[in-house]
Amino acid sequence: MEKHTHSTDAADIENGKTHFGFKQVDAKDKESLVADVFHNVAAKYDIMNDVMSLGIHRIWKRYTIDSAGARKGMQVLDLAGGTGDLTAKFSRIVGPTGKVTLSDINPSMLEVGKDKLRDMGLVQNIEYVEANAEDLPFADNTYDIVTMAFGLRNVTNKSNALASIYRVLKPGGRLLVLEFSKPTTEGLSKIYDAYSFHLLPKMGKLIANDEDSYRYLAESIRMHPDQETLKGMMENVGFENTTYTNLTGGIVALHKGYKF
Amino acid sequence: MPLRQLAAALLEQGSNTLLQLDPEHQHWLSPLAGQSLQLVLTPIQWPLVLYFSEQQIDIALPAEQLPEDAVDCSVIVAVSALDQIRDTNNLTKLIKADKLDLQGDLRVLQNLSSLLNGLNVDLAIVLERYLGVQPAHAVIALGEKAKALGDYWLDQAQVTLSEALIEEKKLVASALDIALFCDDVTATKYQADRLDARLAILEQQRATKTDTE
Repeated sequence: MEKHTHSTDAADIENGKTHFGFKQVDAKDKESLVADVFHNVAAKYDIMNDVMSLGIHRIWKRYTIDSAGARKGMQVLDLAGGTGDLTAKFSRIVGPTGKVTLSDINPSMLEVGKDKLRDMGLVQNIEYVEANAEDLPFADNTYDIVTMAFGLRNVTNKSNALASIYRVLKPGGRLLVLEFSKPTTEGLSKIYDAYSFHLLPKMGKLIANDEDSYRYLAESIRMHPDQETLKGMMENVGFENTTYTNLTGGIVALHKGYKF
Repeated sequence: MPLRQLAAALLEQGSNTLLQLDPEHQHWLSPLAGQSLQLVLTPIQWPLVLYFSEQQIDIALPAEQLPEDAVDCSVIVAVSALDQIRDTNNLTKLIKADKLDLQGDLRVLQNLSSLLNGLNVDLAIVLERYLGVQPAHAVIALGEKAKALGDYWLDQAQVTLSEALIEEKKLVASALDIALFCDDVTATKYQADRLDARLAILEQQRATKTDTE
């Protein structure tokens, strides 16, 4: 694992167009296109995550939780929280005096998460909110911690989402973005490309009977800003002490920034 | 790969699997629900944080020791005394012996101690569910034999090792012997150098004599 510091910027939308995987689409359409993908994969999302990452996504998420520094009584927002992996852990750490908000733009994913967490007996300190990360329906300075695991790359305007997160964080609060990123070595990059463009869609077809959605997932990973660019975007909206840590050779990176 | 997180995940999985093997585990876990405990083993200084809930125990292995206010109870204990903290009657004795430092709510440690002592995992019943009665008991009997054999080998190894250490110690040269040996080696080297020089001179003289003839 390595920690770095630098800054750059990236525009998500140009002339009203943005990327949807490798395709250029009208920016206003991306939200519904992404929604369709996640409606399709919601039911098999957890099992596919395990198969695709060989279970390593659980370790990446655990690393995120450990890095968050959550304590009893804290308010946590698990943004694009999907099926609630991070929420479950945070819920037990913050205890009955704290609160975790599981938020996702996609009602299908939120429903799967709600069912899963209720089955686990986690009901006391969790609230479920269907929300767009670009326009969060929460008051300013509400949360101690905001996490976004494997969600930011699907947002149409990432800078808007980061600014919205910054607004809802309390001073002293922190954002943790866990997202696919750029492998740090050429060799790993080639293996990873071969895996995600050739094997991943096939696995999607085999397990979830949905090749296209998993092809989009692979393409969206390539279109996501690299480590330095995302760090720069976070700094541009006001985050301070921004750092990132490469995990598994940069396949995934955890970005962390504070609001002071 | 974050190995610390991997270790925590394995530890957590193992602990919760063990808990589930006792049908009465809820009785011991409930008083701990919503509490957290940090255990730091000295001298290795590795913190282990346990978050208790009605459903399970969550385990974290943070890189650094958490501040005392981050958990309900923080226990710093010597590795040698780890087994003794299961009995809460030992706590005062351990604190006085500087083997235990306890901050926060003592009840969390007491409740954890109750959980560890009260947990009753009957391996025979667990195996019966998967293997049937006869094979389960055969496996248990085999396990007990293997354990007895393992204990015997361990005892034998300890005896052999301790005897070897005692006998070897007798043969170990003292510091004075080593110093004398070093002096002897130096003296021998000096004599060898002198002999070498003398031989060189003689060879040179012989060569000169041959040239003259």
